Amino acid sequence: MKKSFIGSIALHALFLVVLIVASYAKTEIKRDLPDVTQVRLIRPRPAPVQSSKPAEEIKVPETKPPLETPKKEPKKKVKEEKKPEPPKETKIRSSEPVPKELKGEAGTLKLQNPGFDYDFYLALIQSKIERNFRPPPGVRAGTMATIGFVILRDGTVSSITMVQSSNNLLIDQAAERAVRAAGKFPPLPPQYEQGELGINFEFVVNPGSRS
Amino acid sequence: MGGSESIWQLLTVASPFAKFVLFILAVMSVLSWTVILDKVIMWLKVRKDSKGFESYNWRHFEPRNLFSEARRYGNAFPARAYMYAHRELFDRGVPDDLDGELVAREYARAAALHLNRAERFLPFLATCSAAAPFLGLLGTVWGIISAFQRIGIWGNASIAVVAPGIAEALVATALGLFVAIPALIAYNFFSNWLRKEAEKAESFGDDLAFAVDRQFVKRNAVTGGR
Repeated sequence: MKKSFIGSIALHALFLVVLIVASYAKTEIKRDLPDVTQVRLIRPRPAPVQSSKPAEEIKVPETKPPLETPKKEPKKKVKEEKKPEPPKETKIRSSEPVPKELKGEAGTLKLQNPGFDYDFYLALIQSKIERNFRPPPGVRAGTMATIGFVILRDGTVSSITMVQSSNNLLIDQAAERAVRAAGKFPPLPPQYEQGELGINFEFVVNPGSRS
Repeated sequence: MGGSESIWQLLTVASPFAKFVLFILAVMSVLSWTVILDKVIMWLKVRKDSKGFESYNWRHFEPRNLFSEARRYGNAFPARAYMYAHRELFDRGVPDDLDGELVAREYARAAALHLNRAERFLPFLATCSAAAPFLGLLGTVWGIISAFQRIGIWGNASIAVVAPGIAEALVATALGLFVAIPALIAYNFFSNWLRKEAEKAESFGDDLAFAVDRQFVKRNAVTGGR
């Protein structure tokens, strides 16, 4: 009986060791793979409503590093055309600081403060939130609700508030859920000096929006 | 399982109750494997000797002859039982009132003793196989409860909040099954085997009684003991 007990202990120890080694081996393999930067392709937006200047194109090198496509992985193919438009290198600042707007299909993105010139970032946020906005069916088209939130430097969304209610609980909830579900955004562009970015998002129920 | 959330990390972040359940399951696993290994060793020994002892030729039956044969295959249950009966009955010469029934009774007593000893701790395997899944399930349910509490506290049902709790909870069920499956298989195997061995031992007892009757009672009648 004693011999069996020792044998049993040894068996369990062996099993535990195999388990631990296996889990470590797995992480080792993961570390071997080359770094892959995920790139989200965004559709160019129509020009901002209020700004008189044409849409600015700002090159931010950090977000698009040259991709060394790994030879081992043919699955992760990254499309090369990132911008359909030829990038204009001119960086134009708006002369008078007016809070910017970006109109989309299901809502309008308004900056709470002026001074954020990175349209690609706003377009990304807009598309991400829009994709998550699912208004309930049977709501009168044109109903509007405005949600305010703040994007921190690392891209986290915080202090989600109801700026203007639509007087329809379902729409309000859907709007808030859209912001929450959009979840974490990419970090703010490093050139942007302030620590956070306040945004009001005006959701509009379209007749054509999916429900 | 892999990556940043290895099983080991899941175990270390588990709640105290989950750790307690996992600890109990680990102890059950060690003990049940102790029993399994013990029975396997016994099975290996007995199976070999049992085959040899079965081939005893009853036509040349003689108590001393059978005793030496039994000593040779000392691990088989009938052999061990017969050795005991032989020592009880024949060590001080052949008793006068010897008949098959007396030998069979001594033999059956010894055989039951040895078989009982062989069956020792086997019910523990049955208990393990029945209780371990339930214990694992308890740990899982408890872990899921705490996962939901965490959702309530964080006000957030994202997978990042829920998944660790659920993964941690499911480890308990996995461990319970890990304990239960070998225990169940071993219990069924060994209990079946011991039942067959008991039947064999019983038939050996019948053979023994018959042989003793034929040899001694007849001889007594021929020599005209009474």
